[in-house]
Amino acid sequence: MLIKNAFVCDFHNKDFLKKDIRINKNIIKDMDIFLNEKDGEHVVDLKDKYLVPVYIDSSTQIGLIESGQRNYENDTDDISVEDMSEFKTLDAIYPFDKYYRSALRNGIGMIVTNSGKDNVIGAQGCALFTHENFQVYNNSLVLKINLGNDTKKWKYNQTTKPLSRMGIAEIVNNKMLEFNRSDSKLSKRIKKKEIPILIRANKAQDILFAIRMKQEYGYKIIIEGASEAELLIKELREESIPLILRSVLRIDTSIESRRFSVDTIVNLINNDLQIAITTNHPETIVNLLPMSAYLLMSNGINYFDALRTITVNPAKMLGIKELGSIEKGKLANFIVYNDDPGSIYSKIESVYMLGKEYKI
Amino acid sequence: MDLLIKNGNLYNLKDGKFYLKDILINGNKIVKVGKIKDSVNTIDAKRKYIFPGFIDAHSHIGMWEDIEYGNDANECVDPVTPNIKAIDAFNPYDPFIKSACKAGFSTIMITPGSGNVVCGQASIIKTNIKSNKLQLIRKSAALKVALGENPKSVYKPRFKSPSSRMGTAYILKNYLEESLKSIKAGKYDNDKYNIMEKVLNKEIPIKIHCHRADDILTAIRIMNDYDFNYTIDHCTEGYMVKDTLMKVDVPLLLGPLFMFESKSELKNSDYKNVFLLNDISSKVSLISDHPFSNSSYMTKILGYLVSKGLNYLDAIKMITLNPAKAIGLENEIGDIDVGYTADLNIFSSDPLNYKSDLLLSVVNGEIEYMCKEMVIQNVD
Repeated sequence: MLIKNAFVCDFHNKDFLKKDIRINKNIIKDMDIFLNEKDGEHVVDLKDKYLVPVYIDSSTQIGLIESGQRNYENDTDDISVEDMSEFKTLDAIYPFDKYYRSALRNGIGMIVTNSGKDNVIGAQGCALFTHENFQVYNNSLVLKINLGNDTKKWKYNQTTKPLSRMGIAEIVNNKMLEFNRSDSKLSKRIKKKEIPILIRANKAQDILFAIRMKQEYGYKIIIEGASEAELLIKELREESIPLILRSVLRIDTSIESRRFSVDTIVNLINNDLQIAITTNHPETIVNLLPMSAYLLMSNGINYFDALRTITVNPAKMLGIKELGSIEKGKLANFIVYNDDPGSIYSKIESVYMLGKEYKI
Repeated sequence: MDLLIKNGNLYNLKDGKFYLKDILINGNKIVKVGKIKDSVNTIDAKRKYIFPGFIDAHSHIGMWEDIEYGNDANECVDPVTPNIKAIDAFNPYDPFIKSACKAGFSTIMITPGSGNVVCGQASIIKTNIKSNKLQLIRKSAALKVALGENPKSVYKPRFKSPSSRMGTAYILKNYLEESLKSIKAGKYDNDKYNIMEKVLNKEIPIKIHCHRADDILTAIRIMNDYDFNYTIDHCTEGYMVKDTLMKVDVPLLLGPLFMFESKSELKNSDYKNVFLLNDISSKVSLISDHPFSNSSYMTKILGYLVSKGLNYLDAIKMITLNPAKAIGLENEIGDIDVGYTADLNIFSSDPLNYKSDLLLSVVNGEIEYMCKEMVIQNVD
């Protein structure tokens, strides 16, 4: 298939460049200013429409929490066990959750589903495409670890470990040592840095603990939440730790998160930290992922830097090599906008997933 | 102090067009709009866009923090607490008030939560907090009542009434009847009923929290027995009963939109509710219900709705004229005209779009926010 006359998002030039794209099966085979049509090739003339890579929601609980219930019968955590690391969120996902469909309608082509925030050692998160039911990209994309108040067992009126940050740290340290010694599949992948450890840490002391953990064990880590990251910019940069930040559409006034605001995100981006933005669905619904990123534009962030936070950056930090940008060799997954995607009034006309067009 | 804003493109809420106008402010009022000679304090708003101060008609801003002993928006000790007042829980130093102001909001109705059937009294505040004065403009501005899941969820686990929608309706009707009786008899010893005098005189509306279609119908059925002003707040399943809503023609305060359906009465929520109700009513407002949605980005949510087909002028009315009417201040706020309170915003471009900067906001006649590129010229 040959796509002609599209304005394609180019992160290097920070511009939309007019390009033709050749798609073979589901891969972008070729991309240039002008490509000749081959015999019998299906040609789509996009007539100056805009192409951006599909968006990636980097840490959600879609499929684990069903909508329309007060006391969720949810599958996000398992506090009966101390260690969920051999659990997989994929095994709990309800594939017909309506938000997979609405995600696609809003240009979100891939969703990462992680376990909740109650277990210190969480589960292995998975990544799903959104174009059809249950299109698994990777069933073990990240390992989730939670620090901070939410893991303390006081919450359940129990007096078992952990009750303090020291207890949390001990659990994490023991687990890291176990990875070091063990030859399990997961341990091997963590040691080879094939699978990042996603650490939920909001308060400065939790972020510092995560940094120490990286220094001590050398595993690949990502910090999620990072509400107080502004206080530790130098340290985070030295260790080049990527951050997944929540959407500012959600108001969170808890003691761990109240320092976080849109200015935090802007400051971190301006300090060249690698930032992804997530909805943490259901905290903000997945439909609002593009808005969560693009509203940074009214705080002085340019369009392409805002776009990076929901495309290239999450792809890079999570090791999703085939997505994130529109380039030769990547999967043919992109969004067609009728006009400048940096305007709220532009409409998504269709989404190409694995080379196939889905009309919106 | 006089303040003259010159050469701005003023958005006209009658036809949805921009007109080049000068605006003269004296004290907290707009005293002249049109072509005005330079005065002492002048701000040049050339090529900039001026909108009225926005209004959020249902919010818990300043009252609701995630803290150890619970938020301050609910006093769930009795299903009937008509005398508690939102203003008494209000913290003017909540940083979200500043950010609401920076998003263009100048007037907010703060209301008690919906844990009780008769929840208490809503208040109206301004967002100009710079002067360190609590900018309260109405202490008792509405009587908030709640139907549906929330009061049930509070009292059912305590084996108390209301434990069903029948109980909720009964408690509400009983309160209305008893208070009317008491007022008629001239008994003022029971101050539980005094607020109803204002409702009876139509000085303030009853503000009814309801999500599900049956709760909306219950609200209308109860209110049909009386001659009160009332507003239907949230109105999540309003589109299912839009014919009935068309007949009663009361203010509909929709929101929060695009929220996860975290309880069963929200399961049919759909943003198309806004379009369907806007077709049958000219009294639709958008509310934040802070902290359940973020008023700082309500303008962007409206932009998103416009991209889905909502008329732009109607969208702007949902945070200006319509909520002004709903909270009973239509002669004071919601538009920029002579005699109105001086609440206005100057934007670099369309405020509903992503890239748009607030350059200056005047709230209650005071410059609450001004960016560096704006200057006040002293023409002496």
